[in-house]
Amino acid sequence: MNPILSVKNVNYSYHTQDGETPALSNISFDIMPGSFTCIVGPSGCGKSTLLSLISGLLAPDEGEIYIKGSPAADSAMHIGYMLQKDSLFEWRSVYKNVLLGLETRKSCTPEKKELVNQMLDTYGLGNFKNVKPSQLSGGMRQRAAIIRTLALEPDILLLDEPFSALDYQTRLEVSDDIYRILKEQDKTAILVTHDISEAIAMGDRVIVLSARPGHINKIIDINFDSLKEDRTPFSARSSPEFPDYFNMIWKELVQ
Amino acid sequence: MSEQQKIYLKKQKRYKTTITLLRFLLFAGFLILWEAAARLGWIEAFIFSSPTRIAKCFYKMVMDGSIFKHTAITLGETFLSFGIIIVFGIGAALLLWLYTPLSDVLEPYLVVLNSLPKSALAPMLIVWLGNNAKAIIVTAVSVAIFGTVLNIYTSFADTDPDKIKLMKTFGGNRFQILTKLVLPASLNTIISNMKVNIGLCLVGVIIGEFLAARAGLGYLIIYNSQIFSMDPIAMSIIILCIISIILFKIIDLLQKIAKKLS
Ligand SMILES: Nc1ncnc2c1ncn2[C@@H]1O[C@H](COP(=O)(O)OP(=O)(O)OP(=O)(O)O)[C@@H](O)[C@H]1O
Ligand SMILES: [Mg+2]
Repeated sequence: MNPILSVKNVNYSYHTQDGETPALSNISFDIMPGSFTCIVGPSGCGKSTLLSLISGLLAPDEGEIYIKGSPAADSAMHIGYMLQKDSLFEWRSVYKNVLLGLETRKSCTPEKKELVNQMLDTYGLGNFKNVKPSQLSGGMRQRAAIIRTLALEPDILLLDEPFSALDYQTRLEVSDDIYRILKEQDKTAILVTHDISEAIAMGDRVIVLSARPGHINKIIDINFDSLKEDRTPFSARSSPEFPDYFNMIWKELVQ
Repeated sequence: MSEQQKIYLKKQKRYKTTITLLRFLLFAGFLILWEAAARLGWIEAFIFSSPTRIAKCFYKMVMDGSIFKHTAITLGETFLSFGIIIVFGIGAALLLWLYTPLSDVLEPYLVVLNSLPKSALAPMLIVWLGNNAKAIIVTAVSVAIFGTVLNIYTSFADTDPDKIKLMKTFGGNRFQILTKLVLPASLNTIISNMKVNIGLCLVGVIIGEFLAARAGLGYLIIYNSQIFSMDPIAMSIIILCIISIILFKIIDLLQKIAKKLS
């Protein structure tokens, strides 16, 4: 099988008046269709920058990024990028907010609206369609932002700390939900997180980045042989393999 | 509804009625005091006028129709300059937002022009443009335009960069970012700005009329001050008060409608 995404020897630096900030150095990896990859790394190591490069918002200084064989800059349509902040527009209703991406891509067809309505119902926002985002709780805002991204029906989903604004319990629930949706729809996902447990619970693979400038410390494949079919983030957390993975990643992060 | 809630609502209602009543009493008391002071000779009615003298003057000018002419002219000039400010203010702010180098070049000039006491420009404008309505409107526009451009441009430029990034992840072009994000995000600023501007336009028009007009409330004031006829002056001021209240309320209403629609 061909990788859906390949990142090859990518370097990136930010330039400001105060000087140059190297953010990423020599990053290379491949992502297979339908896989779930988690990226962990210390704060400021370039995780968000990496997602921006993949989504084509930034262009690498050196190296290449290919999506389905063509350069990332031309393949933005295949990507759904959920940013670190939910950035819901206060002046739009929840419903109009989740349609924003479709509107902007001029693909707001009745079928897509139907899909959005279904998702709103499934994720407990059905009764909140017509309220303004300011009336939603943190968890609901996050779910609205996820629906806004999923509405685009992207092949690759980039998630930048999507659960960081949630309290612990909601976080476990929402991450279970998201995991299930992504697996059901056979999406390829890349999730950035600070939380080692979350990375192990959700990922097929964890990429551990070093401190800035981020380079790849290690890529760890996650397998829960003991769980087989009924792997969910929740069950993964209580499986016997979990602590070993945790220690492995922890060591990579603090080294 | 619980008993406590009922009591609370009742209290609130009583408080509101009291406030309205007090406002009215203050106004009535002021009128009565003024009238009494004039009649009892505490103040010179010829200089300070009085409510009944103003009413008489008003009646006379309604009868010969002249008050309508003056008010209509002032209002017309105010609306026209207001319209020009809104169109040009938003237009210029858009250009500045679209072309960053343009705003970088022009910003210091706008700041200086904005901090200038604009009434200082009026005599010069009148010499340039002549003793006519054109000069008055340009004066009024000059009072508010620079502040408007700066204010609206600043609001455009302050648009949340994360929201702009979001629009870019959808593949949004500059025009979409403008119409879906920048303009709606600045709507409140634009309307608050309109509230300030409608008052400023009135100020500008009156300054212009002081200097250049042959009609209008400003002309009425300056003309009558030269012949020491205080009643029409006081009356004009009161009409100006009423006009500014009404204009402000109209914008307020616009704001509420905009809020509902969005
Ligand atoms: N627009 C920018 N201009 C200059 N430097 C930047 C810019 N954006 C990010 N940086 C710097 O680049 C580095 C990487 O930033 P990035 O946002 O990718 O980190 P991150 O790993 O996502 O951090 P966090 O975990 O806090 O979200 C940081 O040190 C940051 O200070
Ligand atoms: Mg980040």
